[in-house]
Amino acid sequence: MLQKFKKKIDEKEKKSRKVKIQELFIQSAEKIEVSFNNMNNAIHALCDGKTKEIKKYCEATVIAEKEADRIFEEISARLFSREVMVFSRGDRLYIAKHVEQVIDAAEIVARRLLIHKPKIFPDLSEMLKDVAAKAKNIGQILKKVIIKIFDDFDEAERLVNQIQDIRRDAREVEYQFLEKLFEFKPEYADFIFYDQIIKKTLSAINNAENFGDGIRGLIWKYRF
Amino acid sequence: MDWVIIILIILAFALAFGIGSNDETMANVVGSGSLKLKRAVILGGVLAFLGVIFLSGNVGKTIGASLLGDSVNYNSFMMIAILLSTSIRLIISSKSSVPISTTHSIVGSIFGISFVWAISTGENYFLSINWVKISEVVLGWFISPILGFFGAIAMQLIIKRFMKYRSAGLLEVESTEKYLQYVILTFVCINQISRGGNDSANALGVLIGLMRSDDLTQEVVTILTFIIGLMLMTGLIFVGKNVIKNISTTTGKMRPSDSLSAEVSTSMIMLGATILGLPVSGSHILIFGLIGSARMKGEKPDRKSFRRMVSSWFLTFPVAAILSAVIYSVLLFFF
Repeated sequence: MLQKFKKKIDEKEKKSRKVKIQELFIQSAEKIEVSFNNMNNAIHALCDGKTKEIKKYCEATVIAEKEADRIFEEISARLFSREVMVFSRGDRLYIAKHVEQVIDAAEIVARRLLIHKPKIFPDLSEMLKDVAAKAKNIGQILKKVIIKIFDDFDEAERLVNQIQDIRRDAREVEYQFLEKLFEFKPEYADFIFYDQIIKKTLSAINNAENFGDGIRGLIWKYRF
Repeated sequence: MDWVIIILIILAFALAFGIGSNDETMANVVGSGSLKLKRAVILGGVLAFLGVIFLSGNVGKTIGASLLGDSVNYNSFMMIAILLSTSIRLIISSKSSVPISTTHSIVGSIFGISFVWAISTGENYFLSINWVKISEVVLGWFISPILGFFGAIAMQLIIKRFMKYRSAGLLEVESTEKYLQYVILTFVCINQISRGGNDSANALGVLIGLMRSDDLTQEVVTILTFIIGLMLMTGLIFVGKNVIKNISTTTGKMRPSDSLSAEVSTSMIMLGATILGLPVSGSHILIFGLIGSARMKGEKPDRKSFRRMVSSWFLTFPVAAILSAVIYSVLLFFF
């Protein structure tokens, strides 16, 4: 009897020590900002020829992705408990899953940056830096979107619109970058490398934008 | 006590158990996570029992002899035919997983036996039915789902207005919905008590019939009513939990603010009908309430399953009538 009572108290204490599921969502949103920031730093380091820094930032992106994975696993495990209401479980899972996917896309860019050391072309570098900076900006906004969807639908929607605008600009820069790439005709390996980096960076941006669109859908669903 | 009466009492108990087994009232609270299945079925069982004890009287008087014409001698074989045909119809519908109304089946059966009675006695069929009472009951069947539909729409409008100022973000929406869950629980409890009173009358009607024919005394009927309440409770707790579990997976995905309108509408109509002594179908009212609530959001029900459900409701009546007529004819032939 006494042991049962003790066990109950232990369980209660364990529960109170547990991070709230809401905190986990904020933590995962922060990982988007961290991973996109590190991806941007890594691309800048590549364009500036700072080899050591590329590795440092790429590794930081990979670590952020691993941490995001761990957070996603914890969210998934707790989502179907009484902590979250039944009707919003699916939508919360959608948010958690897409955060992870967006960070995955940033990690892919980071891993590719480590594969090859291309010849630096100043014009291409400037455009690549521009796209990376836009990606970083999107990462910061997306973090705010995820936090805001929980307490301010209007602000979240305004931020989603911002992501769309930035993504549109980034796509324009991508086309200019590809034009220049064909104009410069670098060596085959460099060509492929630059082509892959710009495409994968844009893919990370597109993932973030798609996620933003999904969040807009959720706002419409929940806003009366 | 005559063996026929014993059979009748056993059949009434079985019917009460079957009604409890098909009661899905608590599905919403289980699906939304307000209550765990075990607690929900126990609460549902106790509430249904209370409904049988306190609210079944008026509906019980309506079902049975009062639906037959004054010249008809409501006898035990008629009751057996009614109970058997209803039970068979319940089993068939359970197999096809389409919810049917026990009340529709009972009234359909009364049409069947009165038809056979008219032929066997050479009396006028139109005199074998109490058309005024039947019209009241049938009118209730049509009006109650319509009221459920429009009641849910009106409630949805009110809830929409209420939610408009409480949906700044997902956290606020969730906390408001959590609060609404408790409001739903209150209305589900009212609904469960009313359904206990309304549905059990199908089994109680037979006992009241036996009391009127002096086969049973008032005291015995009181004791049997208590047992019928226990049978309904047992059916709900031990078998009904499966029905509740199945339906809760669908209703649980609904937002409490969406299902609240249907629940409020259903519980109020059920309570009103039970107090007035009108036998109605809680499932029909709830389904129309849910459709009304969905319509307000611009959603349409799946046409195919809706058509299947409605046709099954309409079929219940003639099928029960034919079944009871056949069973009563066989009983008349042998006894």
